[in-house]
Amino acid sequence: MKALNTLTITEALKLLDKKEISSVELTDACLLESEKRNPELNAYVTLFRDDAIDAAKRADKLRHEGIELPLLGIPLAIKDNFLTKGLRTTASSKVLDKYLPPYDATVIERLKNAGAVILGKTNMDAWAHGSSTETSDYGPTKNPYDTTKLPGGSSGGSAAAVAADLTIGAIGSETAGSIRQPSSWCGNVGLKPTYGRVSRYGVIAMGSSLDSPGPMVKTVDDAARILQVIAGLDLHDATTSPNAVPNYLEKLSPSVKGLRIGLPKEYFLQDAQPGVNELVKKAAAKLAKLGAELIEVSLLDPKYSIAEYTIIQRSEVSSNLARYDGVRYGHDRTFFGAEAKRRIMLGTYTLSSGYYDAYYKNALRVRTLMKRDFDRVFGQVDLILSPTTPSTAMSIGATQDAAMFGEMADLLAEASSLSGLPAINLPAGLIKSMPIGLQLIGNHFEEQKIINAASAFEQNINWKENKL
Amino acid sequence: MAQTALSDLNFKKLVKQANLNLNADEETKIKSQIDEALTAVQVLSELKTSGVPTLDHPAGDLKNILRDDIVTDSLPPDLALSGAARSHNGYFMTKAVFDEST
Repeated sequence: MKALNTLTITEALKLLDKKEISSVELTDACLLESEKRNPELNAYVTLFRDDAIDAAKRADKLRHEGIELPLLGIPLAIKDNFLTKGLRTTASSKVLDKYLPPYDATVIERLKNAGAVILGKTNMDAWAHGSSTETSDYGPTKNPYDTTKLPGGSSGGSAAAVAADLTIGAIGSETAGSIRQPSSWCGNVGLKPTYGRVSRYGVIAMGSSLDSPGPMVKTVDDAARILQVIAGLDLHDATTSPNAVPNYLEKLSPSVKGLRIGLPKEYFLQDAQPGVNELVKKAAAKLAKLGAELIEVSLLDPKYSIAEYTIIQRSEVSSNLARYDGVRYGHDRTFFGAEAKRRIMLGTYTLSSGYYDAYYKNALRVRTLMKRDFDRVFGQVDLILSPTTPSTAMSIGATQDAAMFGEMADLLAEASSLSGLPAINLPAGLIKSMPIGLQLIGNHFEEQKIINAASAFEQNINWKENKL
Repeated sequence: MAQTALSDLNFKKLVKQANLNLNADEETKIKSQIDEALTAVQVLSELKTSGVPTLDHPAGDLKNILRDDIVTDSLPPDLALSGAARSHNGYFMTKAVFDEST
């Protein structure tokens, strides 16, 4: 049997149900690997060994009693912006260094109710402000493929933990790119659901009109399993959708036959790292061999996305971070890092009297144009495919003093996030041994279509053989 | 779009509005980075937005999202106060807004 921490969630559930392994064994295997490699990778801010083993014991007992739950006994790593009751939650910022939340985020509650075990809280860009994990007040996370390189961000710790088999699955969140981009840089499957498909209650807010929790895992099946558990209406979050959650696994049909897949020419950037466009198009061509119809389409130039996202995100950040005053919890605002201060300042400006109309309100109009642009293209195609990121992982230190690094790195994800669309990163190939991903973007609440196409890709293409 | 460079006077006002404390180095650095960002976002003026409605969020037509008027337990006071650096008789303590002269 392979090492337990290298299993997928689906594989682990089969072995647990056959009682060939226990949750305690599985959880301990993940903890041991995490404890061994975290000093090097810095994927976790906090590991909860005792609580995790206790939860694993309870899961084993429930299974022994014949109780069936969708994630019973499955150990997961959680990005440190999800509130976990009584367990340290920092958002990788010293402002919340000792913060113990008094309640669970809805996502956490649902995972616990499904029997999952929480291993620990993963490192991230502080407050989710970034695409590298370098803005974390607890030091950057290292990419397991090459520890001189970044894992991406802001869910970099979750991405690295999955890639290094420190966990068999993880939870991240995306405002624009923060699930997809680190998944691309670390060779994982990362699913950003439709905005409103998964509750934001108890997720430390960055951009309230953008934040979307989602799974970061090893396979498409695993992504579907976790989405099934965490998706759905939540009365604590007024922006969650009342649309019924389909049974993603029951309806899983890995096929792209007859699917029209649009390749937006503007997203195959001229200044992308050499090899990125070629590898992604090669991967797309394989989908055509499986029966998909590839169609060139046109979307708004991503240069507008950078500007648009900068204004809307930083405006919402300045509002959301106003609550951190050290009165009700946490330290005061002198503990904010440089990146947080920079974003708060710009957001305060774009929302302030005399500038609100010219910046924020105008950006909300541009947002309408972006959404209309996608509506138009989804009249022609079923899914959109492009590189997730214009390059493979960058070196540690690359983001220093780059005022808009995050927004620049996520330029291929921003427009779809601003429009609330679901998307998945799939590992597509290797360039000089570093992973690069492709993304499939769907229309609102079309996660099933994405999952089906992604599953067909995964089952028919060995991405590690697609290399330059 | 509006002006791109912040005057020193506007910047100090902005720092106060943002409720932040910046040292001199931070002020210099952040000011130039904001100027850089404001220049970068000027590209949006290439798009025609006159007459286009705003899209505050992509969650669709949300209006009056209410829950049933049923009393449920909320966060107990001791738990709500558990993170506070200072509390007194069930209240959060904060810096005084008024001093003895007011």
